[in-house]
Amino acid sequence: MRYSALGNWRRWDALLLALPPLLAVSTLVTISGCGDSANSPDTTVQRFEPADPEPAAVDTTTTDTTTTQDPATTPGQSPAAVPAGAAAVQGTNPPPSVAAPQIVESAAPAAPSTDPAAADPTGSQPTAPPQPNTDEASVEQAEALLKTAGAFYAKAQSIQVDTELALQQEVGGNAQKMAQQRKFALEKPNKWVITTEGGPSSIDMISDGKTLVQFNRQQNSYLEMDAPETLGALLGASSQGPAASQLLSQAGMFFGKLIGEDPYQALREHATQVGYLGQEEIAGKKAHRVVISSPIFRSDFWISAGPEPLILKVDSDLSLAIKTLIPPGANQGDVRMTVSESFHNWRINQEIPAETFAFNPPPGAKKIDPGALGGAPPDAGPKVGQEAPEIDGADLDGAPFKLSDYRGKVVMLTFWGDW
Amino acid sequence: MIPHERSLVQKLQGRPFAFIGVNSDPKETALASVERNKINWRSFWDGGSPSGPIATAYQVQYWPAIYLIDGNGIIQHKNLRGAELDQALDEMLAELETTTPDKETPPATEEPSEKPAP
Repeated sequence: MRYSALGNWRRWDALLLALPPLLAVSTLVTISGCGDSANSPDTTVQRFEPADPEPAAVDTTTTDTTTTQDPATTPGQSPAAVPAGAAAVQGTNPPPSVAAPQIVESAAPAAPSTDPAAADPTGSQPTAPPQPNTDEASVEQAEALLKTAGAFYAKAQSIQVDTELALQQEVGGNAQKMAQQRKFALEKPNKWVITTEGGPSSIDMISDGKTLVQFNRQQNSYLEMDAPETLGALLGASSQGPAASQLLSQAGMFFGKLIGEDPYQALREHATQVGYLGQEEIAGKKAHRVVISSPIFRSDFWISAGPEPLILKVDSDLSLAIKTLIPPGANQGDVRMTVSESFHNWRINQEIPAETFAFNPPPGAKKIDPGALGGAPPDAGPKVGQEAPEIDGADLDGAPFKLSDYRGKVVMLTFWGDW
Repeated sequence: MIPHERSLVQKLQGRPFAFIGVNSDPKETALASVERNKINWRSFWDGGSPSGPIATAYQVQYWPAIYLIDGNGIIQHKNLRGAELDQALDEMLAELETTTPDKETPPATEEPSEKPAP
C-alpha cells in the first residue's frame, strides 16, 4: 500500500526535481524520451534558486512578478492565476474568482468536463486574467493567428532569437523562482546553438549537424554525442501524458514548439480551447493576444501584429498541470507554477556563419563520458539497502568528524546549500 | 527547505536522531548561510564545490539530496520529501526506539497520508 503510493510520489517528485534542470537545455535530452528518466542524472550539477525575500533579478517584462510576498499567502499573485484556466474551459464569462487551493482541488482531474459547480466563486481575485470570448469569431481569429504563425515558422530555414524566462514554482509553501536568459540559433534541420545564462546552470548546447555537444560553463565540462536528425525531434519528442508534456514543453523549451514540422499543432498541443483577446502592446510592439487553455493549463501568446507573425511573449500557468501529477496521498498543499518567456531580436532566414555551430573546448575543459547521459541509472549514487558510504571529513568550523560517529541513531543526511 | 529542516531538528530533539548536512558552498557562503538561516545542524564541508568529494561519492545530481540512514548505517530511503519524509522518519525512529530497551516510546501510529504543508 504504502509502497505504491511511494512509487507515485517519487515520479512526481522526480518531475519537480527535474524541472529546474529542464530549464537548462542539457537535461532535456535525457528527459524527452521517457517519463521515468525524468530523474536521470546528468553529469551537470543543477541548482535551483529559491524565491528570496529580497528582490531578485527577474524578468522585468512581466507584470506578474512578485518578489517580496510569499505566494502561498497571495493567491492573486499572478494574472495567470489558477481559476482562470478552469473558467476558460467552461467558456463562462468573467472568471469566477476562487480561492486558489479550492479550485485546485476541484479542478485537479484532467477531464475536459469540469463540473461548473466546482468553480463557484468563493472570494475575489482582482488580478485574474481576462477571459477571451468563446464565440466563433474569437475562436476563428485565434486559430487564424496560430496557423499564420505556425506556417511562418514552418517555412523559416534559419531562426535566431534571444529570450528571457522567468519561472515561479511553489510546492507546499516552498517557493522557488528563477530567471534565465537564452539564445537560440537554428539552421534547419540540425545545426543549432542554444545557450542559457542564469538559473540553475549555464549550459550551452551546440550541434554542427554531426555532433551534439553539451557544454557546462560552470564546470568547464562537456559531453558529446551524435546529433539528432532534427532539433525538433530532440525538443519535441515526448511520451509523457498531457500534464507532464505540457510542463516539459512550456517550462522546458517553448522554442521547441516553433521549430518542428507543424508548429501550429505544437502551439496548440493539448489545448481544448483557444480564444482571442485583442491587441496589446508588448515591449512597444503591437501584438495579438491569443489564449490557449485546457482544464489543466492556460497559456497566453502575444503574436506580433507586424508583417511577420513573431511570438513576442508567452505566459503560462501550469499549476494545475503539476497538481494533476501529485497523488492525493502526497498532497503537499498548494502547488503553483507560472512561466513567462519574452522573445527579443528575432532574426528569420538570416545567414548564420558556419563557425557559429563549431564547438571549441576552452582550455582545461574536461570531456565527460557520453555513457553518463541517458545510460546512467535514474537512481544514481548509493542505493537503498546499501551501507551509506563513510564520510570522514570536517564540519564548517573545521572540526573533524565522521558519518559513522552517528551509528545507533537515525541519520538524515542532507546535501544542502545556500540557494 | 531550510525552515522545515530546522523545525524538524527541533521537533526530534531528545530522540535518537541526527541531522547531518553536507554543504557544497564556498566556506564564507556556508558560514553566512548558517548565521542567516539559524542553521541548527552540523554539516560536513564539501570543499566549496558542488562536485566536491562527498557529493561525488554520493553522485548527487539535485539539491537538496536526502538520505535516511538507520542505526546500522544502512540507507533506508532516498530523496523523500514532505509528508513521505516525515512518515519514513517516524517509522525509522519508532523501530529504533522499540529495539532500544532503555528508550521506550509508544509505537508510531500510522500518519495520515494527507498532511498539511509545513
